[in-house]
This record gives sequence, C-alpha cells and structure tokens, in this order.
Amino acid sequence: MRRSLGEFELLLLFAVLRLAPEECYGARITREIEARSGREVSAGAVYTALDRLQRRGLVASREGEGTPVRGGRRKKYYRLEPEGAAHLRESWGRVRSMAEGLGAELERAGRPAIDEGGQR
Amino acid sequence: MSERAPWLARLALRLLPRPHGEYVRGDLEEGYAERRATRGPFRARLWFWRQTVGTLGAFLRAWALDRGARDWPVGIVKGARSLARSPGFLVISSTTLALGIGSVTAMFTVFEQVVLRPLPVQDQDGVVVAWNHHIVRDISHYPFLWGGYRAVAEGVPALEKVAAVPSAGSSEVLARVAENGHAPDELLRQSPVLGDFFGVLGAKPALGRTLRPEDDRAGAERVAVISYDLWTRAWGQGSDVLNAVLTLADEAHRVVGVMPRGFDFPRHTDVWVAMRPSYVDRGLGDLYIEADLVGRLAAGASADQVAAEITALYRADAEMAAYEGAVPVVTPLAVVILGDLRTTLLLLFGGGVLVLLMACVNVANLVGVRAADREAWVGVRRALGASRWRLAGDALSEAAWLGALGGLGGAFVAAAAIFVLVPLAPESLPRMALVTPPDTRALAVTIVVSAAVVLLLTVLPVLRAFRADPALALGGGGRAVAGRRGSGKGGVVVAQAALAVWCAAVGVLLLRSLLNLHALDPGFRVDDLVLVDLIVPYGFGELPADFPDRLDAIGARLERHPGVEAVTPMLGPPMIGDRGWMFVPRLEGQTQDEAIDANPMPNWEIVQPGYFEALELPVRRGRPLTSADVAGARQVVVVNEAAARALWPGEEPLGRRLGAFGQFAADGEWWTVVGVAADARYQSLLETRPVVYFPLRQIAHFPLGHLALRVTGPVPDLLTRVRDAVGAEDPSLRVKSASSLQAHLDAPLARPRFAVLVLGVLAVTTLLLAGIGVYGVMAAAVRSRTPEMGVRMACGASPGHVRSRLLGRGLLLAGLGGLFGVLAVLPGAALLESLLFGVAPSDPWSLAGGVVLVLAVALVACWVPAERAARLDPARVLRIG
Repeated sequence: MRRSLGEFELLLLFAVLRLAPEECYGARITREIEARSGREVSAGAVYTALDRLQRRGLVASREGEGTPVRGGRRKKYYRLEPEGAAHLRESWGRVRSMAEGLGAELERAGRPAIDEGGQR
Repeated sequence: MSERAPWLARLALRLLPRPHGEYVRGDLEEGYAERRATRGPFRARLWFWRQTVGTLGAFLRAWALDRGARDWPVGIVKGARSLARSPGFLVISSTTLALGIGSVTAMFTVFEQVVLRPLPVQDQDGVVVAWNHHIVRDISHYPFLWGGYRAVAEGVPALEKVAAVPSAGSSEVLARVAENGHAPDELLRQSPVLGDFFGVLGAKPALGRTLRPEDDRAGAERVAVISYDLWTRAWGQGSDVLNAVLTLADEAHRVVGVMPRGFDFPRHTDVWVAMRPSYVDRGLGDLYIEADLVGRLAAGASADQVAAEITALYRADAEMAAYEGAVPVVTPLAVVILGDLRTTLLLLFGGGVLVLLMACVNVANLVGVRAADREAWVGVRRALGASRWRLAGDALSEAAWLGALGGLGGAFVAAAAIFVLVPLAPESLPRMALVTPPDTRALAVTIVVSAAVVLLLTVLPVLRAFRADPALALGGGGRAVAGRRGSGKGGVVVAQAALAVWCAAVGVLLLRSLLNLHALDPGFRVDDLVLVDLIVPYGFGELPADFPDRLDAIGARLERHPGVEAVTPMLGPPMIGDRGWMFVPRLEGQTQDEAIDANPMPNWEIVQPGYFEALELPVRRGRPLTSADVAGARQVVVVNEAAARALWPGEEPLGRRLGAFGQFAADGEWWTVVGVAADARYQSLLETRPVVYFPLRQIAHFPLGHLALRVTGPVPDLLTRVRDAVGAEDPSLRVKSASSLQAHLDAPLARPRFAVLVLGVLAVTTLLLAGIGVYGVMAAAVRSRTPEMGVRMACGASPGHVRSRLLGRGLLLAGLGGLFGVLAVLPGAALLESLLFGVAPSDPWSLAGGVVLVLAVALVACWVPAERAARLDPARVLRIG
C-alpha cells in the first residue's frame, strides 16, 4: 500500500487533474480549490505542498511564460504523473469505500437526538 | 491609491527563495488584479496581505521541516518558558524593543500621514503654484497682478489650466452663519478664487458642488463652498447646509458645497467664493488682484518648463514691466502646502530609526551575553544529540517572543506618543491635525520591523549554536584566567556611542538654533505690550474724515484707565513679512518706471503721534512724528535704518524726500525724512524689513486695524474696557481680540520648539539606551575579566588603577563612537541647514556638546562596574576563580 495522501494533497491532486494543462499553474490551482472547497489557501502552501508531491514523483512541472498582469513573471505549470494518478485513485478509493452507503447516516450524525437531549 | 498590490507586502514577498519566489509573486499579482476587478480594491488588498503572511509562513515551515524540525508548537512554548525563567532579561529586552519599535512606528505614522498621504486633489504632482521672487526689490513672494495672470493663462502652453488665489492667503471676513440672526457674527477666513480653481485642482466636494467657471462672472449669483470644519462647527454636518444663506461682509451667499476633510488650500480657509461677483471696484484699474497662480501642468510638462515660459513672457511683453527683475517661482502644490515640515519630519523619522537601531544593538548584546552564559548548556545538549537546527529553532522561538512582545509594546508606545505629541504640535503645522493613531499601514511597518528584529536577534545565538563544539564545552569549562570574551563587545559600545552622538548633536544644534531665535533683539520693548485686533468696516480709501480723531479719542479714553500707560493705533499685523502692506517708493529725480525697476519695497506703517514712545522704539536720529504733523503742514516721514540703507545706501537720509504712486499719493506729492528709527522685528522675526512710517493725518486712506497698548502689568477686564472705549467713540468699529505681543513674536518659534521637543525626547531615549547598553557591556566585561583583575590586584595593582583602567577603556570606546557619530552628522548638513538659524550644522560647539553628553552617560554607565571591580578581594577571586 502506498503512503496515503493528506486532505490538502488530495485537494491539490484533484485540482491538477481537473484543470486543462495550459490552465494548470499556481494562481488557477489556488482559485480552483477556493471555488470548489470554499477554503482559502495561500499560494505558499500550494507551492510547498506541490514541491513535496513532485519530490515523491506524483506530479511534474515545467516553466511557462510571463504575462503583463503578472509583472512579466513566469508561471509554473503542473501535471499529474502516472504514479500520482495511482496514488490519487487509491486514496480516493479508500475514502469512497469507507463512505459507501453512509450518505444518510452522515447527515444525521452528530445532531442531538430527542432522547439524548438532556445529557448533552 | 495606486492600482498595484500593497508595496509593503510586495516587499515582504521578495524574501521568498528562488525559483519559487517568481512564480508565487506572479500568481499573487494575477490574483490581486482579478480580485480588484471583481471585489474592489479594499478586499483585494486584504486578500493580498493574508496571502503574503500565509505564504511566508508556509515557506518558513517547509524550510524548517526539511531540516528536521518536527515540533513547532512545542518549540514555541519552550521559548516562552525559557524566557520566563529570566524575567529581568525578558523585561529589559522587551521594553527596550518596545521603545525602539514604538519610536519608529510613531515617526512613520506622522511622516506617512502628513507627507506621503496624497492631498485630496487629483494627481497632485500635476498641480503647481506660482509667484515671483523679485530680486531687484528683495521680495521673496511677489504676487501676480491682473495683467500677469491673464498673460500666463493665455500664453504658457506648459500649463493646461490656470486659476488664482490671493497671494496673502485666506483673509478674515465678518460673517453671519445663522439666518435667524440670534447667533453673533463671527470671523471666518475666506479665499476669493479666480477662474476654475477647483477644476485645476481636480478637487471633489464632500457634499453638493464646487465653484464652477460660470460662478466667476461679474453679476453672477453669489455662491460659497465651505470647509469640512465649518460644516461640522456650524451645521453639525447636516445636509441642510446646501442652499443655506451665509452672509459674508453683509453680502448674502448661497452655500452650494462642502469640501472634504483635509482640503485646506489656501491654508485655514473656511469659505471659498468666486472673486469676480464679490469684487469691489475701488478704481484701482482693470481688476486689482495680488495673486498666486494655481496651474495644472500640461501632459509631459514640468515646473521648470513653466518657469521658463513665464520668464520668456516677461521678456516678450512690454506690459510686463512690473515683473522686470522678477523671477517666477513655480513650486509643486505639495511642497507649497508642506513647506519645510517635510525636512523636519524626515529628521524626526531618522531619529526614530536611530532609537530602533540602538534598541536592537542593546538587545542583541543582551542576547549575546545570555548565549555566552549558556554556552556550556548548549554544548551539553549538542553532546546529547540535539541537532544544530533544533538549537537554532530554540533561539528563533525566544527571539520571536521578544519580537512579538516588543512589537505589541511598540504599538502602544507609538499610540501613546502620538496621543501626547500631536496635540502639542503648533497650529501652524499643516496637516498635523489630521494625524490619527497608527493605522493598518503603520502597524504593518511595526510587524515587519519586529520580524526583522527577530531575525537579527536570532543570528548571533544561531552562529554560536553552530560553532558550539560538544567536546570543548564539556571538557574545558571556562577556567581560562584572561579570556578575551569581553573584547568583541567593544564594537557594541562604539556603535551605541556613535548613534547616540548623532541624536544628541542634532538635538543640541536645534536647541542652539532655538536659543538664537529667542535671543533676537526685537528692537522695541515687547514686555507689557498688548495688541488689540479691531474689525474695521471700511476698505482702503473709504475712511470717514474724522477717523484719526476717533482713534485718538479711543486712545485717550483707554489711557485714563489705571494700568494703561499709552495707546497707539497700528496698521499691519505682526509678522506679515513681505506679503502685504508694502509700496514702491519714488525717490527724487526718478521717473515712475525707474522707481518701479530699481527700488526696494518697504512696508507701510501709518502712525499717530506717540507711536514711537508707546512702543519704546528708539528714534536714532532726527525726530519722531508729532501732533504737529497734520494735513496741510509739511509732509514728513520717519524711516527705519534698514529702509535708509536700502533707499539711500551710504548717504544721509535726513532731509531726503520720497513719494508714492497711484491711489496712494498724487503726482508731485513728497514726504521729507525727518527721523531714522531703529530696526524692529515687528514685520518679520528672522529679517529686518525696511519700513517707512507715515503720519496718518497726512495720508489718511488706511484702515488701521490694530491698537497697541502699553500696560504696567495685568489689567483686569482689559478686553471689556477696550470694547467699552471703542464702542463709546466709534460704534462702527468692533473689537476682535487682545493678545500679548510676545505671543505674536513667539508664533514663528512654535515650529522649531516642537522639533526640539520631539528630537529632545528621542535624544534622551537614545542616551538612556546608550547608557544601558554601555553598562551591560562593561558589566559583562568585568564579570568575564574578574579572574584577570584578581591576578592583577594580587600582583600589586591598586584598586584605583583597576578602576581607571576599566573607565579608560569604556571612555576610549565611547569617544571612538563619538567620532563616528560626528562624522555621520556632517553628510546630513545640507538637510539640517534649512532648519537652523544662526548656527552652522558643523558648529563645533554643538558637536562637542553632543559628544560630551554621551561621554558623560558612558562615564556613569562604566562607573558602577568599574567600582565593583575595584572592590574585588583578590584572595577570594582567585580561590573561586
């Protein structure tokens, strides 16, 4: 079994998978995670985590061109490596199989039931 | 506000390592532009800051994780605990840092809000203000007249648009604010403006509208735009101000707009009105104005270009004779508004930075001493397998706590300093009243400065941690007799002394300059002189025939009161300088043109008999003006020595004759000089202006608006008595206020006094820090050299010898630092020069004074450790050493 991915890493890999290759750089990844998960992440966190994933061989990167709005600074594009895709499948599979059939339970869980009311 | 992301955050992001820095900064710029477009600049700036802090944190964390740090929360708590174990060190270090960070934050806050913050006009760099420097007549601020205004408005392509404001600034006008007439009339300051004044500035109103070009036409409806302050004061910021009636000098004006807070040009204006509808034609020609021009630069044009084009205009146009010998002065609006305040604040900001540097040097020194003390402990930990990075992390954690405490304390120190100092600032300082406690921008500076301090404080212990050799630490524990450990600290003393000398020397220079200003001889007896301001309802040339008699009667009535010795009316207010009540004299044998070309412009002073006696202004030669100098008698004047020198250089002034032009005097009308009075610093404190004294009864056009009262001491109910006397003799006159003349002469001193006050506080702080620092270094040196001293004393050195050796070393280091400090003052000399009066920036006495102050502090700081060393018992030292 491969070393499992953290939640943030999972979000990152999904974002990389979702974005088209020419869209897949820092600013877009950050925005994608923010838009879909509602969680504001710092560019620094994105880069340091992707760096870690790259060292583990899960993603690969290449340098892109700069644009005026970026003050001419270059972009760094990421893409998913086969190893990364396998990790992602495995991690997601684990989460999914654990969650299977629990949709209704998850909604109910943690809400005070009537007979527990007095003890909480 | 700029469209770019916050500069401070962008600066902080430059700390990111390559190559990631480039990608991250690009991404953040991109995200910022997107958010600015969709969610507005404020949210975008907030986002950018959050991202900056988060990103720096993430990189720092990744960097530390790479090096084996696994336990951030634990490390942070550990740092706090280890600091809490040495409360003395904790309190002294964090207080010192708070002082330093607080000084910088406070000075930055004032500098940023007063100097850097944009004025409430559009593109302020594109607005210039122009007047003339009349070289021939030695007038630094010579206005544009109507012809000049029109010529510049039409003939200077470098200016896109031109308007004009009164050269003398805003002026007082009797106003009725409330329509119901219950509220008493009050004095407001109005600025009649010519042309599209607000359009040139691109200033937007806070409410209603500004004046438009069509308001500035003869016969147009009289409308007024008021200041934010007046709106607040008189209308409680209510919207009913629009279309309210404001009566200015008996003319009803409709209020059409309110300017935003901080819009204060010309200074202290309450009401702006269009010039032409309110213009009173006194038969002085086309449209008699004495104006400064306000212009909007054409695209790509510069102030120098405007000056060159105006000069060319003077040469080309024969009608511009009045400007012969004049050079246009074209200055950016911001410079006109701030004046030399920019230099003063820059200096104070520099002082704040110095205090911070001193604080850092001090705390770094304390941290170093602490690290030295714990060297053995560090060695033990290394031997037990703690990684160097772990030890560095501990040092960082301690420094971070110190930085956080210092930053927090600094924010409080800054808020307190501003709370105390800003209300003490003289009213004459522009924009000072707008200063608010440290805002987010200033706090951001605090945070960045604190972070820099933390890094600085970490460096030394980290270096030690890396050097620490476990074997050495465990094996050879500190039994060296004459270790050289204290010697590296000499640099600290030198640096401290250098910084302190800079502050002390500049403080002494400013103080000497202030004392010079105080020591100026006013030329007349200022004590016991009260100046009463009258509101005279007549303009120039509109006086009733018996006006001089009425003034005499008021004087006679007042002189009957016990305590009032003499009363004399005066024309000009004090300190008017070369900005009003001046004339071109004509000498015998000169044509009008020659006189205009060649003569200096003295101030008018129109006097009644007894003037020189009342002011105790000596008449050096000839006679004063007397009650015999009336209309019909020979027309006579008294000139002061400066006027005599300027008009008849090297010649005998008595018996000479002079005339005046235009509405002032008929052609062929002459006044003979019968006396020469001493120079008085009534018109200006820093220079002696030429003055010609005319008898009121021989040139009776002038509405004298002041009474000078010579009293024998405090007179109870003086103002009421003056009101009664004035009301009884001339009910059309009103009494505005009474103040001591000393207060008027002190007003120009308010600025230098404030600068000395603030710099004094900073200098005392630096001296204190220097004292603490020198003490710390010397105390540590004595401790580490105790065995050496013991040996020396055992070998026969006397306690006095030991003491003087230590004192000598301390003073030598402090003196060396003093030398560096003195050298550092000199490059700033040009900057300082504009703030100093009667003392050069390189004044050896002031510099020496600064050095002596610092040496004295160093002496005191060295004395205690030296004394301790001298009292050592050699036997005991050697036994335990």
